[in-house]
Amino acid sequence: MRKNILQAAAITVFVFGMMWVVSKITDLKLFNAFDPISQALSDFELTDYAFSNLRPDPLVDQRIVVVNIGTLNRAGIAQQISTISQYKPKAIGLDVYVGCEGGLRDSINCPALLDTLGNLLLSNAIQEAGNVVIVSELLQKKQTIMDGKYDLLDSVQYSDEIFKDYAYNAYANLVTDADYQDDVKLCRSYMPSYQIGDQTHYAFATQLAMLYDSTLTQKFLNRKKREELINYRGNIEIQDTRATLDKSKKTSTTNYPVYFYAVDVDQLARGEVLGELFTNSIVLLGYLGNYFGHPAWEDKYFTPLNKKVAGRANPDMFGVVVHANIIAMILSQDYVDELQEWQKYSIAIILCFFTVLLFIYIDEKYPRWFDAASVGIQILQLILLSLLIMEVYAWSSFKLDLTITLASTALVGPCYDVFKSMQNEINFRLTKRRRNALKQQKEENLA
Amino acid sequence: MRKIVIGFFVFLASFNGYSQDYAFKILAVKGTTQVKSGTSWQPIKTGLSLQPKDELKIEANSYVALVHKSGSPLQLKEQGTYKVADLASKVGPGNSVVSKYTDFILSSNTADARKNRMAATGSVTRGGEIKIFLPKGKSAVFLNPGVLISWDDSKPGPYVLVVKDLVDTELARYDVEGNSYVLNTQEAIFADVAIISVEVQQKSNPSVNSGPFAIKKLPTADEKRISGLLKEMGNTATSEDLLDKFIMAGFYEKNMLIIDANKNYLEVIKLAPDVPEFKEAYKDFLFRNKLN
Repeated sequence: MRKNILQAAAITVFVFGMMWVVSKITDLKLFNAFDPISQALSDFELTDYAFSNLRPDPLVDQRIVVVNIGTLNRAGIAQQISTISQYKPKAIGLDVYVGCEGGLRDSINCPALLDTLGNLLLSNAIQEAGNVVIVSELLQKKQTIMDGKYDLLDSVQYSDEIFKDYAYNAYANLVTDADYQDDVKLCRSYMPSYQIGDQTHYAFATQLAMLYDSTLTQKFLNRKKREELINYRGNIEIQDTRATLDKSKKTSTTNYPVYFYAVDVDQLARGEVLGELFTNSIVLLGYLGNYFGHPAWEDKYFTPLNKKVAGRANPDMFGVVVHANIIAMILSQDYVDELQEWQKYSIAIILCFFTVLLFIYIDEKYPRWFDAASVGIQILQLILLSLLIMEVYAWSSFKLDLTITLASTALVGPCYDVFKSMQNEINFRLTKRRRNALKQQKEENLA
Repeated sequence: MRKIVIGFFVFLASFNGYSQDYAFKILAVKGTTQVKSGTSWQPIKTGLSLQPKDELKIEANSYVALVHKSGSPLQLKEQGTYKVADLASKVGPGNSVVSKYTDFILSSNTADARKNRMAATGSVTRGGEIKIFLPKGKSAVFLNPGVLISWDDSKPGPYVLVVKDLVDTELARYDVEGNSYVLNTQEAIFADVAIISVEVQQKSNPSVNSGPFAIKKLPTADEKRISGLLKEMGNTATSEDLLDKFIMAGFYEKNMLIIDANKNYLEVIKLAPDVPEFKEAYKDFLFRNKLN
């Protein structure tokens, strides 16, 4: 038994050694250019199945109202804020950058400056409302990038002073792989706050949640996680169903199309919304297309709610709805928890060790069945682990990241064979050498 | 004291019961939708609470999203009348895990087999889906302040007539049930507007629209000239008589005042809907002036 345990431990070490070697080879990315499957699946995670299809249906969050700004200019947005603030919402979030990109304050680079009346109206509306959060953007200085600190943000681009001085400023950056604003964006997580120098900056959603319920938000911040996974609840996806054909098809990009109150740009202007809806709510003003049903892609993200979990697909969620989901998560205390790094490795090592022990047992007792049994066990383990990951995420919002376990399970069979072959070869060579030595000694004795 | 405390809790309990005394709330609306609460039908507003006895009416190309008092959402896309009590019975606890897995696996298996690979076209759609009966270019001028704007009703209404100025500032927006509207250009909002842009949109789906049409008032010099000619017409110009209106339609057309002529033709048809000759004459008028 002791011999088998030592053997299993040795093979487990060998499996993880092989994993290390494979990871180093793949780090070189020699084959990536000719690897469309890896490229297509690079954004894929098993938990996406749980989000998009398998979890229990979430409930609507009735504390948040999202108002579409459509193509309104600043005067139009000012009118929206004035109308909404009459009904005393707890906070108004304006998911619109109202500044000059790059600080270029001339009429060519920043034509919005010409709209002096619109700017004054918006500034006045923000000032009078008193509880408006406007967006800023965290940026990197060129020198920081040149220094190789690629994920360090060191400066803030605020909205214009006539707006920012009368509002709460919070950054709207979300964690994606996008290189620029209109790039393809997949958002799974966000950073609740960011430290630049001595100043702590809050994310747009964090700041709005703070204005709504500072106790709950502080509890969330006390988790002290640099990056939080977003526990997406649902979308705002009101489709244009004018064609009969389209109505019969499930053309929505998510299975959870309307999970927040949504008001279209002209509905607010025409009074087609009850004012009481805004009272004590968080009201988010942002872009949901030129009108409800407009197939726009501006500020639209891929999220784990997307029915298509990998490969090419349509983006499913406007940025303002991503913020709404984060707020709903904070206020519902419905956070996503994850395994610690040491836990990931421990689970992988333990499972690998016992799998090897099982292989040794089968190899000794039923050697003729070993190949079939080992492959069968591996496949069964991979399926069960995948289901476990999805189920745990779907039912408890716990991200059971068993990537290392899955990798070790996939490698354990081949590694066992390789290890045994090497072991046999070494044994054979050592035995042969001993036999030769004995033979030589015998001959010497005879002589 | 005890009674007061009990009374207070009874009050709280009744208040709590009252606050939950709704079946659904309106989450989002698109298009033309109505609610019948009591005896009358009224337009639906976002945030409105619906009682179990209420009814909903959804017109074509419209949409309503509801949230049940339990927090579960429900979408209505199909045209028709719905009883709220019936809708409440559709809201369940949600599918079980097994049925979710089954649905997911079955839908994944059948998705490819049922695919129509020619569902998308390599083209775009641009305006003009609603044919508006207004001339373009130099003919897009009007003399009389009541400008009749009419359009083809093959796309179902109701419609929205959006009026803007030259720099795209919205001046007015009118909800229209039928397929015509008389725009009163003497309203104060048009006082300093030289060129008026009008666009007809389907209310339920603004992407179905006529595109913008610019119309402008007849220049002063031309107005004086036409006024002189109208004086020569005597009472015919101002008469409400059917034939006089028909004659004036010809007069306006002859003087390239197509918008005014169009209005007169339609008024004639409205006064004598059973006379096919007037309809034929109107068709010819539309054809001559490339309005159809």
